[in-house]
Amino acid sequence: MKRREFIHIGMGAAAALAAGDIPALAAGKPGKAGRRPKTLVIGIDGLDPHLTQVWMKQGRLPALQKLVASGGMRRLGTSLPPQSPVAWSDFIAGMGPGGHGIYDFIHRDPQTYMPIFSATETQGGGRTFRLGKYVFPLSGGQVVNMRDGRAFWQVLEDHGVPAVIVRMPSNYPPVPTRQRTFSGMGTPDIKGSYGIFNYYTNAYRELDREAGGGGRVHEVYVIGNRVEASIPGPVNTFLKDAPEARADFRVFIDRDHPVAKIAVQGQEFILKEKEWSGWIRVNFDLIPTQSVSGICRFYLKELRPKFKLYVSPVHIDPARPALPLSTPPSYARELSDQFGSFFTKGLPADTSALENGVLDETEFLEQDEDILRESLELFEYELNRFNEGLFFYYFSNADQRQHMFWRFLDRNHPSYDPDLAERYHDVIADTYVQMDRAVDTALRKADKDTVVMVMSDHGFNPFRRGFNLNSWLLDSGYHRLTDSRKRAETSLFMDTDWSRTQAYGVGLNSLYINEKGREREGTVAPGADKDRLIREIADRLESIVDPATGERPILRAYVSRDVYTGKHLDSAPDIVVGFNQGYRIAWESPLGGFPEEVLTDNREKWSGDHMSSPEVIPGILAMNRPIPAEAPKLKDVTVSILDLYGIGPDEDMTGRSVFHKE
Amino acid sequence: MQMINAAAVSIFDFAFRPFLKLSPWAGLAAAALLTAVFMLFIFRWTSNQAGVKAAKNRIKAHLLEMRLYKEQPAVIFRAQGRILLANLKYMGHNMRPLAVMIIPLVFILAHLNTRFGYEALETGEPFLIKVLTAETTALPSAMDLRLDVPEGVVVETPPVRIDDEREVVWRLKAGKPGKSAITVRAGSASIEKSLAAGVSPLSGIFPRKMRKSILDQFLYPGDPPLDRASPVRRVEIAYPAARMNLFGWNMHWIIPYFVLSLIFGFALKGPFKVEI
Repeated sequence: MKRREFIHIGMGAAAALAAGDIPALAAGKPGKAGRRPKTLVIGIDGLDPHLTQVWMKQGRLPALQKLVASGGMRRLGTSLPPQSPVAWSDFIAGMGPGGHGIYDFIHRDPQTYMPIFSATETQGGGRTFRLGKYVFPLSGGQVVNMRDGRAFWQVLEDHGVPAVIVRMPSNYPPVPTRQRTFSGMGTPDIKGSYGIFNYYTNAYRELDREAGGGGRVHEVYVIGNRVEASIPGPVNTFLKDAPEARADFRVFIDRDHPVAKIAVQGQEFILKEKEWSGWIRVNFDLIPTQSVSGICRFYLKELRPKFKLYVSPVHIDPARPALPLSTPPSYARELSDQFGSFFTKGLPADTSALENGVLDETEFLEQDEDILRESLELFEYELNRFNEGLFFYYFSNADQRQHMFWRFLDRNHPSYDPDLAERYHDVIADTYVQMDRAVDTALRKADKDTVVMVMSDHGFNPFRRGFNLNSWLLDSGYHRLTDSRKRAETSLFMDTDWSRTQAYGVGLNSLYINEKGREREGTVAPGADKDRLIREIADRLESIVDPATGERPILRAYVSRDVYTGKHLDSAPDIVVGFNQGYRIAWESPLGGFPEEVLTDNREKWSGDHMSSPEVIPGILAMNRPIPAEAPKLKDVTVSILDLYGIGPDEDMTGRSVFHKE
Repeated sequence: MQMINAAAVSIFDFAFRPFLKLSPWAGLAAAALLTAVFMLFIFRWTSNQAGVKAAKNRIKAHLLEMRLYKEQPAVIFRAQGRILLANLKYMGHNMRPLAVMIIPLVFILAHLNTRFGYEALETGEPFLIKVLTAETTALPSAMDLRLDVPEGVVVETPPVRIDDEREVVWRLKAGKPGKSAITVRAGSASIEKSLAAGVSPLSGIFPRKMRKSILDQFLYPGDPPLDRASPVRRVEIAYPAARMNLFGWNMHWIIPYFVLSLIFGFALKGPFKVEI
């Protein structure tokens, strides 16, 4: 024990004893640095307070009911905007986007106007050395976590409080620490993307939907009851022109039975139609001495009359991580030794495959049930050895299923299907029940000194109508195309006339002014001109009325200078669009598209969302301790956790402890 | 050969019985120790011990000569030539014991591979059984091939028949631990293949049942061989490969086996009065 720590604990204990506050000491009352409490935080992405309360009243969530009865529950103020990477960054760093610098899933490069991932940046190796077809880097590349601010478990580490942080979103690559951490949402697949599935079929068709990832369709031929194909892997930068590395496989189909043998790199397994494989390890050879290992699952959707084989995105192999997954690095291998292969990609449910009809609802749920089973096994494993400090565990299933199955809760949704609704209307409720069982497991393990928190980053609401921000900017004269006849086909601002453009939208809630000196071809002078334009656009956005519903699609257009503080204010969007309930940014707009219609029905399976104004979709905070703060926010939970150990907030943190009345 | 294999399996079964519930390292160390003793014994009685000693002494003498006369290149050059010659003589003295040892050693290695090379199937985990048919028979899809499985084993899929590979493969699952046998029925022929699930690998894991040939029986001991006239030329169960774990480093069993054999060999050469 460090000297400072000893004095700290000793003083806290003496103070508590002098005050006769022994029970509080034992229970780890906030602000006391005596005996350290154990803190268990269960993060459930997208757990909605309204639905939670409804199903609690119906008695379907007994563990949450018990938790709340022993402490309290509050609606938890979410981030602006309420997107998961932003919200979890608020929680990790105890500050808003102005402090940690994550404003949206997608940022933009002001020099190219191109969208870029907000959470990570891949920095390639420097100089290379070429020998024939081979290219050897003389220095290594790296992936950089773009979130700023110290993570709360780093602060805990400074004070000697052990923490285990499993699948924390917005923590890829995991920040340096001696604590055991495993990365969550934001962890890419082996190709470095959010997740690209592969679909092998002789009934070729284009994929036309992007929803939380992507996919590739490979046209294959069944010759002599045999199919030969390959799985695309990472780009092989050791070779000239950097081709994709590939892993070949063969499928042998029985002449009569609906069954096939699949052979991949010396591994063989049999699948019946409509059956999933376990995790299959695939190696992508780069050069004779270098290969990258990944894991994926096969699903044999159909053999006859058409051949249809789905292969999940290739996850980073936790046994041989090609990219950093954990701290210490050996933690990923330890878990692999314990469980074998398990999912490592950030959001493992393949929403894109469901959106594109490659998987149907049942197949998607089968996959997600396996994900949940793996997740619960890891949760229980860590729970069983949790005996000091803090343990955080994150579940993604509720968020992903609400995105895809909300249409079955909402009869007014454009993609509501009564037949499908009959089969799937309980999926979301059942998922909440499954989450409740995880809470129950935690409560059974927790002793009376353990502070148990259940929290979500935001709630949910229907996504019935889409608002094309860029189309509106174009129609309103703030954006210009070189040839407006091309507006329906253009994407990624390919036909934008930047010399006459004043504003553009990139990402899910972000609007940027084309500012002189900041953007490559900026047109609006910073200062009064820009401020006037921002106010004008914000006012006009808030006054839009949807003729189809009579509602305002945009509840509030936030001017970033009014709502953000911190050292990353310069990279903030100029306006953050806060949508009204039922509305969200339309599909084409975030990546620079300009469809004809500004407001459109959302007829996709991706039918629930959370891009609204924060007051529309708060998250939840439930705890087995009273919560005096009446309107806590995500960043307040961070400071509250530190408070439980008698640790004050880090200097950049702007949250306040929920254990004190506001 | 079949009788020799059967006898060897019984001897190995007996020898490894005390180690069944211990770490595989204990069994491997015992096997390496016995191998070292065996090799020393062979070496002692088949090599020219005096010649080995003389060759080694000569090498040492010429090495000393090189150190003493390091300023005289002609002497060093001559000494190097003589070291080379003595080395050849030393290797020549090793040839006879090596020739005597090589066949029994490969035989032992093949049997040890059935104890250390594979993991038994885990109960509840699926596995494949593969039947390769003879070239002289009809194509697999035209054959009447069936499986009879013991209680506790479930055939999970219909067969996948791959005619151009002359292969038929099923997926099964073993529901309870123990050793049993699966019967492959090919028309009127009936072939038994051993199955090991949830048992110690030291009790013997036999992945392949091969046709009656000296080499195959030598390399794949355990299951009795198939008749040459059988419509099936191989039956194979895909057991997982085993690895020896040393402080987190997984390796093939043969690496620690040879290292331990060498260590034991050098440690025991004094007490056994063997010049190697």
